[in-house]
Amino acid sequence: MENISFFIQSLGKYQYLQNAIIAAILVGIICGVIGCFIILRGMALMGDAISHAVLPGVAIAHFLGFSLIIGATITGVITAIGIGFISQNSKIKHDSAIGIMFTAAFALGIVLITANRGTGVDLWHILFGNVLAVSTSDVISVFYISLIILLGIFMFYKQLLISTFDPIMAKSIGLPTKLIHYVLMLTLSLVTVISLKTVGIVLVVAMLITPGATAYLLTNKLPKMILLSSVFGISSAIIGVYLSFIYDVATGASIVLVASTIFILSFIFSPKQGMLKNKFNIIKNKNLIESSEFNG
Amino acid sequence: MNKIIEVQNVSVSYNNLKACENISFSIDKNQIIGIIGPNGSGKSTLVKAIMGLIKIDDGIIKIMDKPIYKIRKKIAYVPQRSNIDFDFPISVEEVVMMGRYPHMLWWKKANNKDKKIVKDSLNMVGVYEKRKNQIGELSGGEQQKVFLARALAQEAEILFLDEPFAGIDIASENKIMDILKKLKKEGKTLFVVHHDLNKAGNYFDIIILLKNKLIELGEHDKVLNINNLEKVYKDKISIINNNLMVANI
Repeated sequence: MENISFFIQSLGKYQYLQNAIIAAILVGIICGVIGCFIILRGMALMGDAISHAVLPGVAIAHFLGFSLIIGATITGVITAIGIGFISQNSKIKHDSAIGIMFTAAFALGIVLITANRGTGVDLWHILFGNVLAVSTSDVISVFYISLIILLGIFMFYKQLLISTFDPIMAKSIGLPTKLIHYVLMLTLSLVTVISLKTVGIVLVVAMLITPGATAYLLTNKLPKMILLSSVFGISSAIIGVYLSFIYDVATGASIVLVASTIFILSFIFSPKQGMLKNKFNIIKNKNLIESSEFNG
Repeated sequence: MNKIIEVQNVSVSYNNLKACENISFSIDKNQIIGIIGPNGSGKSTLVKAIMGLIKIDDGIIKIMDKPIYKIRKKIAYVPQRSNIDFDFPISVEEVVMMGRYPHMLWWKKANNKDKKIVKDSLNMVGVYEKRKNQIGELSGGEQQKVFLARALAQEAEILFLDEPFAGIDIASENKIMDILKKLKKEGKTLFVVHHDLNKAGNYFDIIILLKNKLIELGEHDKVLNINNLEKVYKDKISIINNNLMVANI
């Protein structure tokens, strides 16, 4: 209790903490929502790839002094296109193409940053986040990007749903399924940029996948899954920032660990598909069979 | 205009391998057409080409005298069950509602007319009671009916069904066949990709026998003779009690 009241007091006192928690909450929401579609499209690995591939764009944008968002989306989308090109034009399988392209982009980013030491770009902060550095203008841009992405998902919900569930039908009624794929990749790049300072490039995939997967275990309805996923994203953000503040550990990792803990709890206790429920069903069925054997 | 589909000299290839080679035929409307051939014979490729899902190397395809991209709404697709993720968080009703998407403006939600059509389609195939269920909770036959209902909701003139009888029990197979016959009576044209030759006779008005090329097109008796089947299935056929039998592949 003491810790919590200390945290709340500090939250009132320090601007940086307010910025950190607002940014983390926004990241929790937006990753939670997008993550549902990533999971259902079977693109978790792709999410990991695009988030890493953002690195060279971020580095170049830093050195040349233009917007990180532009740099990140350019290298993110180029990598996505490269992955598609390799897997469609050779016998290399999709996951191998992903592995080749994103590590190449990531390595390029690391080389660029280490070649330009002394320019004030901290590799560690980009990879793992630096929540103390979230400025008010960062929060504002995170807010607007989140708003645009959420609006986009709301307006194109039908198209997203059908191209995720049945891509052949989507194509047959004339939806541009390829464009939808690449817009989603572009969105992933954007999401990575806005998550840069809170969780960093390396761990952002956890915010995309874990809350969505947790929700997936708990419901059979997509709108509910999206809602639950963002609720888990928000709670991970708040609890994670709190724990990192109290115990003085890295914020991004702390947020991710909270999300993982929620996942494990739902994996064990989910009333529909949880481990306990399954065990219980097996025991129940066994008893039924045994009792019917007695009767018979 | 009786010819609902015209295919002229169509060739399709994947990685330099010809899946369909110089195929030409035309089909009258209001029939059930079986597209038959062994695995790798280009059945799905032909269907995908007609539906405008893949590029063709050569040839012309016309549907109701128009190129496919002008007439997409009129064509519905019933996927093979193995291509669908039945863990997807979606209800029966929502799947069928997808049939209405081509008729809705892109940002709009379903209106009362859409809801009525979905309800009628669910009733027609007999899965209305299960409308709130998640699709994975249904049996294989019921799942197939749900996708049929989706095609009905689309109010399509032409339906393409990809192996609709794969992995379902015989009772459901008969029920689905009844529905297909009913749809034919209502004036629809139905294409069924099918690998089991043994039943082809009772099911289809016209059979398209494929082995990358068009081997034969016509009524059952004309198509399914030993000569044609040897060309297509080689050593997998036998004659038992004067009936042609083909080993299931």
